[in-house]
Amino acid sequence: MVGNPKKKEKQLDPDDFVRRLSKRNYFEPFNRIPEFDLIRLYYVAFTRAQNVLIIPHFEESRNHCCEHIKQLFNETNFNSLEEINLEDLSKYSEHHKEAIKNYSFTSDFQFYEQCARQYMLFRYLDFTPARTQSMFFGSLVHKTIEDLHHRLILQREKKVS
Amino acid sequence: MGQVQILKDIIEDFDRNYMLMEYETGRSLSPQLKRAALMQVIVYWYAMRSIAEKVSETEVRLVLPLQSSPQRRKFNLEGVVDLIRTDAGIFMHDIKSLDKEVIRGQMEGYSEQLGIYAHIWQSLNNQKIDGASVISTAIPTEISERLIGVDIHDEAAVMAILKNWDPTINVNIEQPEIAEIMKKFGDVVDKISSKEFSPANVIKLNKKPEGQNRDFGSLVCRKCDGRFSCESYRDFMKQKDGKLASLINLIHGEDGEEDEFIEAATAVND
Repeated sequence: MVGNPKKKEKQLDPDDFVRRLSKRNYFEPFNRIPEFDLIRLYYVAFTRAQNVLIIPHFEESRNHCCEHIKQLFNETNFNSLEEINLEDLSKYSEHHKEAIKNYSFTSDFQFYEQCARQYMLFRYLDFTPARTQSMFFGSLVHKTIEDLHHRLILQREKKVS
Repeated sequence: MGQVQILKDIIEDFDRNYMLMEYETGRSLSPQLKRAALMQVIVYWYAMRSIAEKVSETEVRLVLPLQSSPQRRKFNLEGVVDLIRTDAGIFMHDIKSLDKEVIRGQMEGYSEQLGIYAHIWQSLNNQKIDGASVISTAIPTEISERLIGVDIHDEAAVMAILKNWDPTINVNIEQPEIAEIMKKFGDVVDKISSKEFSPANVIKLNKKPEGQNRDFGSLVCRKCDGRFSCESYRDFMKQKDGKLASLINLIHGEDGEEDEFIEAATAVND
């Protein structure tokens, strides 16, 4: 449900705003920021609603509604709340579109196979183990050898060029 | 680049990495361990110079995207490896700071790991991987004892000590059944996603992993912070020590609270 779209389009003083904080060019004309804010509000409403979107439609003249939204109401035949039977609406079901996860062969698969409980603590829940000497040791050796390889590769590339 | 300069660079990189890791983790190594770590890198340079100088791409990230688990979860499989390109072909190397014997005991795992990486490389680049190996940077005791007091800049002296030592272990990457490994991998993805986090069973805890002279419980669990809330470790300790068993029963009772523990712990991460 979107709130009352009434918003006073008062002129903002640029000096009170971004200008004194940043030397960049204006991102949006200052006098149109309230209008853009309103459009952003509707953008979120139209793109995030899953089953039903309820927009207040004020008919009294004292309730301001921006021109774009007015136009939208005029051009589109939206149902009014009285016309909708809430019982007929499909039931909201929550479905997350999760990002596809990466699983590493060594630090996920092999670690889990070693002991799933240990995996849970130190990989899934990301606790820091109390004893880290061997991990610290291994990472230090590995990182320094990696640096050595980088140096040797760079040196070879320099020779070739 | 001369030998002296390379060693200077190694020490410089090592000190910088150590300092950064110290800041990052708030942990440190004892002076002896720090020196042992530096020695591993220096000995790697001397012993594996011919390989190190041929590494063409280091820490190559391989990703096999959009795989599907048995329960139809989508996931990407990833791994990191070093590559060497020579006239004879493309070779993969994985560097481990473990003892050679421990690595030998885990050959099946390495064969699966590098076999899958080779498969990813082949799928992405349409090029065959011609060979793979694991390099052990751990210095055997007999060599580290002989290195005591030797000037690390004295190449001839160091090489004389290292001459019969080969830290590489070739890995068979032709053998693994890719489909089977992918299925096992997918099973693990499903189990992680459905929060199945039961500890390794007590039979596993009592067994010595290949190449190791201590059982899994002493080798892995004893260093694990989760051991005091782990039913397998509790049973393992009970079997080890009868007196301890009665004390554990007195404190915890016969039944554990592990399910509650897992529930509470994983709920936090939802």
